[in-house]
Amino acid sequence: MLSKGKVFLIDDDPIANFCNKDVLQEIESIEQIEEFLEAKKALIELEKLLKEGMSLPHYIFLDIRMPEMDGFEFIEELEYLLEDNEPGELPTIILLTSSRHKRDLELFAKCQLPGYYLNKPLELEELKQKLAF
Amino acid sequence: MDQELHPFLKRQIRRFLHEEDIDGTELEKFILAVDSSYKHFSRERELMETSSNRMMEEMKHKNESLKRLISSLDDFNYHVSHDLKSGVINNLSLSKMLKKYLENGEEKMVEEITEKLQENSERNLNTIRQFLRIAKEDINISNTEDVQLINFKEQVNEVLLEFDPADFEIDIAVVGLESFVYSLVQFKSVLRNLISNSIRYRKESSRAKIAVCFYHQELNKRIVYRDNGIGIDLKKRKDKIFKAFEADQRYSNSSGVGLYLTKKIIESNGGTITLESKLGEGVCFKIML
Repeated sequence: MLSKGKVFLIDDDPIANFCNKDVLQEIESIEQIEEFLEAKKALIELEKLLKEGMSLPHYIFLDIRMPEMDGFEFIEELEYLLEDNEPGELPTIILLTSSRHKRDLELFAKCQLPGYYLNKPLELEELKQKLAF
Repeated sequence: MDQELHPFLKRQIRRFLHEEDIDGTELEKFILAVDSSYKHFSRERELMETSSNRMMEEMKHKNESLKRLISSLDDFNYHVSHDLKSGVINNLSLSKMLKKYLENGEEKMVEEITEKLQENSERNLNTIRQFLRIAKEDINISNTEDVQLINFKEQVNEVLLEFDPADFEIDIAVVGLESFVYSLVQFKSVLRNLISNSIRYRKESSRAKIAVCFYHQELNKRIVYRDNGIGIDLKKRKDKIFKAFEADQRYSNSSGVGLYLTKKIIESNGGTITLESKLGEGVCFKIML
């Protein structure tokens, strides 16, 4: 089950989170923004929600380059975690990129979860256009 | 004299000459001349083979170092585009926010954003400094003009002068020959990186204890470098330890460039560096020069 009003924001850079959160807060349908500085912690939280039968976030805004677990490692783990979920019950990954590096695009093309790219910084208009809020 | 000649050559010559045409000594002289030419040519051929093998080896070596250079340039490009861009993007976002909250008259937010703007700009400056440092060190690595005979102990002590003696104690040992040939700038850069890491990652409120040993026997030149610092969790960070810009997040003042450059210098000289470590138990670098 997905919760339309819930989003996760995963970026190791607190300043980027601070700015992106500010943009996301402008969208009325978003009720809850959970911020994570480490992908691993977000994964643990998702695992917990899944176990308890709680609803998952509709959107996961995800930075690519992070220490320890990076964005792609996170997606891989999440796909494994959600392999039994119906297509309609999968959160959408919004990959936050600062540069469209070929290496990143190739890796993202291999991902199974629904997803988009958005350029950093998040722009309110672009967000509203691309995503169903 | 006859027995020293190459039997194959002798047979060939006798096949083509009618022995009755020339008397025995003339023939022997002739055979000797041909034989010594043959020996001379085969020596030449061996020399050519050795030098062409050597050239092949050199080319292989150059190819490998080019491949390494390309992959490191690719990494560098990836990080430059990511790190520099995200820093500038943060500044842009913060400025936009600042404008919004100034218009709304929300003073508290304005204050917070201004602080973040400053913090972010300082971080950007630091990022640029690291990139410049790599660019500068790259020039050092390609510079082989200062290759010279280096006395290990002397030059280690020279590098130590750059650090505060209150921060560390060191034990330097040499087994075998005490000097070796290397680029001085590069050798000092390697030492400087290792020592500054030992000091940066020492255990709280204690001096860094460093033990460095140089083994030099015949062609085998090794440095074993240990400290008693906080160590590294290799399970977690193994792939990242020698990569650029993957600084240990536990410490904000680490640059993420030192070990990358260290490895690069050592490998560009045909050597290797490996690391053994456990969290809380210091590090041990083994370097083949």
